[in-house]
Amino acid sequence: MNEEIIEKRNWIYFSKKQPTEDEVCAFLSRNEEEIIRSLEKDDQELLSLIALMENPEKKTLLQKLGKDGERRLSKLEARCLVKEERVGILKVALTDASSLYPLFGSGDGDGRSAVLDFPLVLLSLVKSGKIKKGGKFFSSSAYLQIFPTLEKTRLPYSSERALSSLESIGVVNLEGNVYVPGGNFKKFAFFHPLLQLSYIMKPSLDEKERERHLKALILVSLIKNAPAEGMKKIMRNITLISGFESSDIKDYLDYGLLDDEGTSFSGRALKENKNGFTISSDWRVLSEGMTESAVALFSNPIATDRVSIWEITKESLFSYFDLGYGDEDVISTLGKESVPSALSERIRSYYEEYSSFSPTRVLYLKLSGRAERLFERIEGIGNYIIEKAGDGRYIMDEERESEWRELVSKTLGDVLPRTKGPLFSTSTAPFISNVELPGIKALEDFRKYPYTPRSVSGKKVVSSLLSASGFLVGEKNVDDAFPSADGFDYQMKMRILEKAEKERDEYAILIEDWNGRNALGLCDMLIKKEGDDKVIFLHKSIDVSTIYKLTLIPRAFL
Amino acid sequence: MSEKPLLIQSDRTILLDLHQESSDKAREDIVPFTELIKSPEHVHTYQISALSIWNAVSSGIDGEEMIRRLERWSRYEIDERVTFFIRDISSRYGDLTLEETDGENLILKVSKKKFFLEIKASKMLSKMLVENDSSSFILDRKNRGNVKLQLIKMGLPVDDRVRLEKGKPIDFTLNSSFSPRNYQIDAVKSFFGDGRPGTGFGVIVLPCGSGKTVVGMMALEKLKTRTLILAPNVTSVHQWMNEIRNKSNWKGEIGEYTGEKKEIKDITVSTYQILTYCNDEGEYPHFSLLRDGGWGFVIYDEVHMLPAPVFRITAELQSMYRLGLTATLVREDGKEDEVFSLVGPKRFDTPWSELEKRGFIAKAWCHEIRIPLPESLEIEYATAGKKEKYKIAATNEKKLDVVGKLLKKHEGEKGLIIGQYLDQLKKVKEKFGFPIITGSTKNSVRDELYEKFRRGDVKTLIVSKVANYAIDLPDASLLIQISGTFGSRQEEAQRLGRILRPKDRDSHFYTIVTEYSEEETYALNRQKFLSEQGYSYTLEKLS
Repeated sequence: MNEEIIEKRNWIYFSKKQPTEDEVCAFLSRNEEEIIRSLEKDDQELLSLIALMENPEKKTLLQKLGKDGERRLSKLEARCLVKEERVGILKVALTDASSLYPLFGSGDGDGRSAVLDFPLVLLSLVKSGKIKKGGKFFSSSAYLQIFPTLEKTRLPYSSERALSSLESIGVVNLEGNVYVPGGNFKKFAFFHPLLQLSYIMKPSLDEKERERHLKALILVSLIKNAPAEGMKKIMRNITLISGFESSDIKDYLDYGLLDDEGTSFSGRALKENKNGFTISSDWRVLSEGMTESAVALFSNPIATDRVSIWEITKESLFSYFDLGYGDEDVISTLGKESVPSALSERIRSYYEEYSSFSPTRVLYLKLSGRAERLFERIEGIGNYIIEKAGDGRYIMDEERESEWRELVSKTLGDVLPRTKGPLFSTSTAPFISNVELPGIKALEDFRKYPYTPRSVSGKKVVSSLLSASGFLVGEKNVDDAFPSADGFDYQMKMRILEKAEKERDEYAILIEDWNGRNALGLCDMLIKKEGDDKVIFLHKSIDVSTIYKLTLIPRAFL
Repeated sequence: MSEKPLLIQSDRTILLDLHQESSDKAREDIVPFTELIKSPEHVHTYQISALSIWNAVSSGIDGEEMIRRLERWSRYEIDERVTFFIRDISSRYGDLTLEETDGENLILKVSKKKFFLEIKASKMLSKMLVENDSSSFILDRKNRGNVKLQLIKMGLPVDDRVRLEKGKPIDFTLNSSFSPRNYQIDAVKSFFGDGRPGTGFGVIVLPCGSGKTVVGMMALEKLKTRTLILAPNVTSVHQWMNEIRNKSNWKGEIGEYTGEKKEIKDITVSTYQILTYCNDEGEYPHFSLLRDGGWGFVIYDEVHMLPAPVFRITAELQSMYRLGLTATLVREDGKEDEVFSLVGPKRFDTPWSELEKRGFIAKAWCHEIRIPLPESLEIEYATAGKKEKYKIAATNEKKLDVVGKLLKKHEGEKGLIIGQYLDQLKKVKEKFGFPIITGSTKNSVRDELYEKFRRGDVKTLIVSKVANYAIDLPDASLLIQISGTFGSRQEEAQRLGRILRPKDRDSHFYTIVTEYSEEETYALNRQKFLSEQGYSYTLEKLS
């Protein structure tokens, strides 16, 4: 916008060349909706970006925006929409200017994405002792079927990396070559899935960095239908808003936070499980939305998608009991009322079986019932009993635990409880903190004025009028500098017409109908009855629905 | 507020939420191009496969229509991968056509060069196909089935335009007093489709006791052609013959082609066993019955039991109308797909719970009674090998006491006691004195005992696995399973099927299991199929 126009606008809007800040604020706040709606796509985006940035440093912003940044920013500054609050720090003058879209794609297609269950699946598998270090589990078809939406070539690699992160923070331990729950396992299992993912991706961040990383993860999850060619810009936006360098999308694809949908990308949904879950007599638990941690701990993953499917088995229950939970914990998580009685009876019966054999890591072996009766008769077990400590009480060889376990399992059953004890429960694990998910303004407050993308109009009706009246020199387009409504927004047209009638002394109005005919006149010439869908303008009756474009222009411009 | 009932996963699994008002309408819409995988009480699972899409296309539903139907009922936007798969797979149908040429041969026309080259490069197909020109192959008529099977495995469906041939016409009508149920009418309609090439062969899946025999006879009435019916055993051969006599106006003779008789008539009923009899030279002398019998229609009863040699000959019989009937298309050998390819695709399937709700099969309660192993056997059990452990647990003598208690509880009801081990069954006979039927019982004696049971002269029968399938005992409402074939899901379901004929009382299926034993693990696997149909086992512990 050229200087001359700014000067004239200031004089007209504020009756002086340099209006005070209060006057500017009052003007912006009175016309906020119209101003936001009149913004072009690029302006909307930049304004949103600045509004969402934690510390909108002008220098950083200009660096990231590149060569075009200076021009774009000064355009907003010229319109008083952005100002320097203190030296080098920007502030958006409008209170409701932030919109997530178009910052993160088109925003369409909500609900298409599968939910983020990657961390929970991994924990569930570890808890069941199914993962061996260096084993081929991750490339097995069973594992890959659990994640139908993730890229098969990335998954084995990212799973292995994830486990090494989890090992470094004591969530998992290596026992022999098998991953088992570590000291932080239970605590970690109940973290928010995004926080879990944050630890998996970046295990050693300090609290401040963790918060920034979480912010970046939240923003990635909000990407919706973003075209591949726009991803670079989106990642730049995420870096600017979160303060966490997020230029590479590979990490997010690896861990399933971002879905490659062919021609576009979408973040993984963090949908709350609004319908709870369904538990059927076939032992399957269906969860529409994010799975509750407890469910993942007492069942095995079958598939994670829009609906995640988990299956309860004897083995999965035993490994849950190994964590110190009982049968009633399972039943109450599933909801007493909704569990088929056959299932709850069997869960109780498994717990009874589980409890009948209780080994400890100190290798003090306590047996009861059938196990006690049979134990000493197991061929070869005598070689492993160091001492009998009473009826059904044995002190066992610690170093050869795996050997005597094999003997026992041959006799008493394939599934035996894991050994409990100090090594298991008090192994030293680094402190991990349950960081709360940071707030993002645009997520918390529902935006009052929905985002409507606008491109620069091919027609320069207002501009040409202003040129004709000498206000505008050259071929500049200032059509969007004035409050306006397009024909598809009926309510907006009504509001502008009502405003025009109320403030008839201040404005002129330009009405363009769907046949391309223009009518320009002072608002004195406008008659609009409340609730009526017709207006009388310049002595003609016009149906509001036929209005293609409506622009309010301060009188002094004409 | 009611939501849309379909949840479509990206792996093309479709979950149908039964708690939504429109679930029935959605089911009707998707059934033609999906396969029912399981139907427990809250959510039914369907799957879209290449085969299910091709079957739908062959019956006139194109890919766009399938997508429209999914969009109509899907709770969320459909993943692009699903719509891409439907479009891609459905578009392949019609690229390959099989048509008539001279008398002995057929011609396979291939419209796309890349498919032509792919087929040409296949070692398996090169044995059966001769290159005709740059876009077609010639094949022997008898290889029709095998060629189609191989092509389907390569992801290339064939639009088979060679008409099925009817055999010698016969005058077969059902009794006018007989009125079929709606689902039976629907099943027959699905089988014949619009009558164009590509229809008239396939599998109908209906629960035990829901009248599959009647469906077979309805198809026969429509075709009115010389017909061969293959059944799993002689008892069921006799049942088919009785049903035909009772429910139709058929005045001609019915041939019985079994180990005992070798009659061939315009309607003949035979067993898989006689057909697969192999002589010392490794030949199957009775295959000629199927190959050269001049049949226009073959019914495969309990088609899930189709033995491997019959697969081979069925591949040669692609010009006949072929109907497979089963309640449990679950093969422990995983060859369900071959059944679909050779006999024909699944044309009709309905959840068991639906028919139970509408009273077409009996309401059945399943119970698992858990008992301990006697302490005296614990050592023997603990030191035994895996297989032996199972037998010790399965033949636990404490089961006999439980049988006594259950019979008392259900006094007056007609029941079966079924088991795997003959010694165990004999002990039951010694204790309770009921008549027993095993593999060594003569067919005439079996028929007589079953008849006495039907009349009510005998209230309880002890049976071995010979009664697993196709035995029709309408009034039986109690079944006590004391042992079974390890983890067979199909056997469990078929056994329940013996008590599913609708009657004026609920049925009870008891399975007695030794707790903390191999038997318990197998029992859980056995129960899988029924659990997936919505049956749940109550657990009861007896000391």
